Amino acid sequence: MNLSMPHPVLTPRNSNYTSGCKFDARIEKESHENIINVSVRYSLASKKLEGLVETGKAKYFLAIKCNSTWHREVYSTDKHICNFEMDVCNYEGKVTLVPYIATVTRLKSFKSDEHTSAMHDFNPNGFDLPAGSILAMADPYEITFDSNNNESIITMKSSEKVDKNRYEISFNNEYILIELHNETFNKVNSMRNQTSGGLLHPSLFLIALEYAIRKIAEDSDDSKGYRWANAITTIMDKKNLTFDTNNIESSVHKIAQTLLEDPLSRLFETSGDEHE
Amino acid sequence: MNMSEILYKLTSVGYNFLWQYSKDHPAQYRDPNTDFDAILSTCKDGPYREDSGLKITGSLSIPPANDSARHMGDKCCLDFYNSMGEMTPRTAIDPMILTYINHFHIHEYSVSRWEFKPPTEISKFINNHWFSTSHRYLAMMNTAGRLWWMAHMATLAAKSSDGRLTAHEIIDKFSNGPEYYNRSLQLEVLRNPALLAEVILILIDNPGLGIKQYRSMIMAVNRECGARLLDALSNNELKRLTRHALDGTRDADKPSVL
Repeated sequence: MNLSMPHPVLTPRNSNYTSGCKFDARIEKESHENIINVSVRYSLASKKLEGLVETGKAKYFLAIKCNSTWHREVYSTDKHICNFEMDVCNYEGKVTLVPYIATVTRLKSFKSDEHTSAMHDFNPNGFDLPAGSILAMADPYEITFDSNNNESIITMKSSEKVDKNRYEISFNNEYILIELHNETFNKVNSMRNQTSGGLLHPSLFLIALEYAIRKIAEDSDDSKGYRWANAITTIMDKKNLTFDTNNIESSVHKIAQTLLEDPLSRLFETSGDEHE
Repeated sequence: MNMSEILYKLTSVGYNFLWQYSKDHPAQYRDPNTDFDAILSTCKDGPYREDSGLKITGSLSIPPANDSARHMGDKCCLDFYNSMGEMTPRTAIDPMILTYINHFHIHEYSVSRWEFKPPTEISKFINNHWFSTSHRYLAMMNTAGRLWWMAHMATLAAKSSDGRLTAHEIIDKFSNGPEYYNRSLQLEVLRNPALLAEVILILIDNPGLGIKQYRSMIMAVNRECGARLLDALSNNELKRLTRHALDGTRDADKPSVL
């Protein structure tokens, strides 16, 4: 989805800046009971924007939003690294973390050689920006909290490296990571709360979970020691779920659906609500 | 109610039983004296409730709402909120907890709060106010949900106002004009507590402000969100932004640069 703004914004979703300019954020998290320690490392390749941050005219911001609990928080810094805690009690379901750079004061005649010619043509004298104007935006990051296990073991993230309408699943992390192309990530998110699209998100999770459970069933090295593997085996023990050695594949499917608590039935319940 | 009482929540067995009961006996939801304890005692499919892990630390006894001004019943939300001191945003969207509270703690209040008017379907009416698992209605029409979330938003906005507003003043505005609270749930821009506080201050300073003007003002502020991160603004800047948006509703020719 192309991002159109009334002034130049450095983001993967448009071409307001020349190639070589980039803004990204690496987000890492660590769960401790009811607190999640989050560490954000901002990475900026734009002399103009670096200068604005260094002179105090702009800052890095991380906007955290949870639609289920209507909770939102913003953390700001003028450093490349920011650490903070998320209290689990404020969140349920999908939580989106979006990194920004925004002005903290009014900015007059904002222009730069790093802007493309289209931006120069659009406004040769530069842009007058009020305080809070978004100057850069990185790919959003998502955490999912579920009531049964605090933070979900599956996380979805957008990535320019993934082809459009495809997904990649990786297991070499503390959590299972589903990466989607930007546009696909946005489509999945926008359809997620509608009845007709309500199956898409749990389908992706079901696929990822089946892969993960199969790795555990095969006693694969890929599953050893990771938090997601420990969490799955703990839940399986609690619910007395075991593998059928005569039909591993079938039991993988059944276990995945049980762990996701029958995603199809939840879709039917949602349908019922909306028709009433 | 005793201090520090266990707050229960429904199990799926209890929820499904009540749901079916509501369909078979809708009239019980118009009777403030319905005894749901007795009704659930006939449920033989398993335990109907379990410990939610939360405690009720005050009284959940809420006086019935006045027939002629039912929405004013929302004024009691702060007492309700403070009595549920352990409840958090995460637990306050749990339909099992909210439905239990609606049936076993505030049923009488619920009957008085919501006026049933045909041609509304009674099953829809009961679902909206006693059950409502739909997120869209949970904080708006579910009785317990509305009380808790209204107080929670007012508390957060008061904290963000630099001492210029109390939660009571905000709730006073919300209960006198349900539109103000409902809209704060629908519009993402108003989930910023500091911005919500500025909007309430405008309502207090401009008692003659009509709903149309209020909506125009909010939409003008909402338009700013596209290119600006309003959470990055100081309270003074938010004040300037909202006042300018208000002026814009009075004079359409004013320039839009804030």
